[in-house]
Amino acid sequence: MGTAVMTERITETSPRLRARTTGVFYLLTILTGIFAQGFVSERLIVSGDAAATAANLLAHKGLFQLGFAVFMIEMACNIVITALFYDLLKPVSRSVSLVAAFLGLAGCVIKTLSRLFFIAPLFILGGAHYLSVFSAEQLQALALLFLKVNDRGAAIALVFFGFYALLTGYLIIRSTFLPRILGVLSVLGGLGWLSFLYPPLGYRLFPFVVALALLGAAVLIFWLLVFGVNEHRWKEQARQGCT
Amino acid sequence: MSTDVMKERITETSPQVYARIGGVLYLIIIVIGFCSEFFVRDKLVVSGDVTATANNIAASESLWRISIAGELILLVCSAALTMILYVLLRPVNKNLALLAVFFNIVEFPIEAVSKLSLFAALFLSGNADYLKAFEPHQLHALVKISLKLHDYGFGIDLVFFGFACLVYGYLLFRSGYFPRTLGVLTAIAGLSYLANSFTLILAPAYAGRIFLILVFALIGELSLCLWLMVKGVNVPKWNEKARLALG
Repeated sequence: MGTAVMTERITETSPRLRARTTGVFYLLTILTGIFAQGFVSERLIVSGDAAATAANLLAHKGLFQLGFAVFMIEMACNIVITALFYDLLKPVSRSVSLVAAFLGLAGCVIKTLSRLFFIAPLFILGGAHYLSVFSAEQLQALALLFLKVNDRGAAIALVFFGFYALLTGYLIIRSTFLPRILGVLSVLGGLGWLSFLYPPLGYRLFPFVVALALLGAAVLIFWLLVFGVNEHRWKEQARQGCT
Repeated sequence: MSTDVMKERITETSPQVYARIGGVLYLIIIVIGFCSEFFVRDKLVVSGDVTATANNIAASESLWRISIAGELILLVCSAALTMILYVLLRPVNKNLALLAVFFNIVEFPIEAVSKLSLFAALFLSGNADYLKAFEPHQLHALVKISLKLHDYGFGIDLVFFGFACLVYGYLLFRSGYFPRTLGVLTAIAGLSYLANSFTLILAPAYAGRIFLILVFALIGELSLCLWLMVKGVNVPKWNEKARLALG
């Protein structure tokens, strides 16, 4: 009984381990996202050229499918970090942390759904018999149209992730167990994503916004992996929150 | 004060009620899911013949609509079941129970929105005036594209359901108030959902064959459903664990 209570306590109270786990899944989310977006999506899709895009997709079908599978893994990891950050930042404010988690989940839903239009071009261009009623140009146009829907869907999700980063940053700044600068970087990254409230602006600023967000993410991941959280202060703030 | 304590006691000691309701909800979910897949879609969709498919859907419009309505009810039941599983498994590990809920929260809207494609297929199968701008064969091809979008939407949402099942399986296994076998079966169900979805994504040519692997999903889910309904939860052990978790 006594040891049972002990182990129970230990699993409940290892914020540093949970912070490190958050770092691992955050890193996975970023790496999978960079691979699928940067090395598959950006390389194979030729904006404005339906024929070239279709040719690329058919020539690199396996890579495109892999990109989609990795997008799914990215989203699964994103859900894991949403749950972990909720728990990690709950001691600062339970309600704000919950609102942040819901915004993050809404972003995940929108982004995942938009990915449906990333994979759809493959069966549009798949050459099935029933598709022969459309001309090749029509099918290629349809495929590019779907890819654009995917892109816009992901841009909508970015707004939700922007608000998520703002709230997360606010919670980190207010926390006693993580350095404030991490929160400031998260707020700046979030403000960057909010440029997608007006998509033309978002696309224009995209390189800067991504650089800013990646910098913030990299520093936060590094901190979580190496230092975790200040366990003593985390527990203290958690206790104060309870009373 | 004493009534407060009483109320507290009543809500505290009802994991059994939760389990029974959860089992009934699960049965409704399995029955609706099975009927929609095998008695409606499988019957009306003729593989390799888009014209026959479109004609079947047009001829069985009310059946098609009832099946969509049924699947939306399925999702409402799933939301309630998610809450119940969270309450039942929270004492094992609060954070993992929350993670499973989060996987479900992402999964449900994807599934619900993918039903929109089934409506699109229905509209495209009809003979409304504005659709006369397209050739009948083109409309039938669009029906097929809509059905494909639904299949992929369903495949995507099962990725997240698969991960949720893995987490639920682990929690059931570690609980001490559910049999470990139930945890193993639920985890296997999760793995079979993941295998099915990733085959659809990575090797669609084999999707038709791997589909059979979902028998394991049915076994796992039906076991959990029946166990919740018939045996429920070991209440003394649940109470003990819940007390420990609250510390």
